[in-house]
Amino acid sequence: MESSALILKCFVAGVTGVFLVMAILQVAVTLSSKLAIWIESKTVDKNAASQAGKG
Amino acid sequence: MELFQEVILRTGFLALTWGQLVMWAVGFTLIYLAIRKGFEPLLLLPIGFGILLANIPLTPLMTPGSGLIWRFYHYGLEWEVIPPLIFLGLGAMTDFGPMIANPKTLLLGAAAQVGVYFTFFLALLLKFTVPQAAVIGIIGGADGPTTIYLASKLAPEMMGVCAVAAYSYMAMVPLIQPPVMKLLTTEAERKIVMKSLRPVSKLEKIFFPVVALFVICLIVPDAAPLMAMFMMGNLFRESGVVARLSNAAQNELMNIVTIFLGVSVGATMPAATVLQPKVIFVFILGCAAFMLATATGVLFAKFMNLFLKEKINPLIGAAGVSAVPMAARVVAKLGSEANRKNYLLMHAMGPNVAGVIGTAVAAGMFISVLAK
Repeated sequence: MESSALILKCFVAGVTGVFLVMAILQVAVTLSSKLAIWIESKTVDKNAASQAGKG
Repeated sequence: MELFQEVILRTGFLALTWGQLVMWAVGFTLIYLAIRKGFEPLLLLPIGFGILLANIPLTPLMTPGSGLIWRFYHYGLEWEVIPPLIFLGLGAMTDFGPMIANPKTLLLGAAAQVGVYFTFFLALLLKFTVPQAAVIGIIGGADGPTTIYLASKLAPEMMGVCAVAAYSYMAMVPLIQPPVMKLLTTEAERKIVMKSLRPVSKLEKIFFPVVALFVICLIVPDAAPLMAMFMMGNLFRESGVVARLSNAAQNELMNIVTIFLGVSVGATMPAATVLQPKVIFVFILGCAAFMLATATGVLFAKFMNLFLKEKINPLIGAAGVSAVPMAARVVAKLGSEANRKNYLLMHAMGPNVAGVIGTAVAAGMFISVLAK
């Protein structure tokens, strides 16, 4: 009985855990990509502005 | 005459058993496959040689406490040093760009792990213990270092056999996967063309290992030894400021630990441990694990298509088993066979690298439930 409970725990915790990690990672990757793109666009804007100032 | 007799008695010839001869044949077969057929030679060659070493009678190589190979095994594998170092090198070699460009593919890396759990049940039906069944199941993740790491934690007696099964089947991915992929997809599905991936910036690639480290290690702390090293290796690569460290992790360090890993794993296979009827089941279940993981990946990709506006080619689900980059190449080949204009390699690399993470997470989940 204890063994079957352990087996069930392995299965449920495992499948749920793997999907949970990947789903959260998917959201985290999407957000971090957006942040990176935003930071890069700001940097590009700043550089463009400073170039224009020099000109 | 007595002296002569004594010398004879001290040689290994008289202590040689039939089991050891059989294991020599196994060792030579692996060496042959590595040299002549190119089957995962970096691993199967040292493993085959390690098997020979473990089965030469009266040699002190695996004597606990003093044997040379025993020390490699003890400090490298029992102390859980080598698999994380391999992951450091893998991280430094991995380009997460395709996965960052299409984060949905992370779910395919998770879906393939369902096959691991199906195999876990099959192994239990064949009377393996729960920890042994977990190690057999993880073979389906097609990730050698993770299989070895999990075996060292849960069932060290299974380490050698499971590692050989994992690496052998990884070499046979082009034979094992295509029939399953064709069986579960229609011609029309295999023809689906996916749009080119967007370019991924350097900053996105730098953010990824840091973000992934926190997400994975906070949710599954038991996966931290593998994932921490994996992500550090990747940060070395993507930062672009520590080229020496990145190169060392990819080349020198990786090569050195691969030698110790292979020979130590091979040396865990003395005849008395390996020549048991159950070992045949490990190989059968290992093959089943690969097939089931492929199947669950493909089926989940089809399931995702029910909700996606822009359909994905379900073949890429098969790459979720990791086996980088072999599984992705198999997907690309099948895709181009169905439609010449179909270039799936980069699309398949997403689930492929996600599969590496997924397998390590699945191993971490097994450890968290079973090792305490």
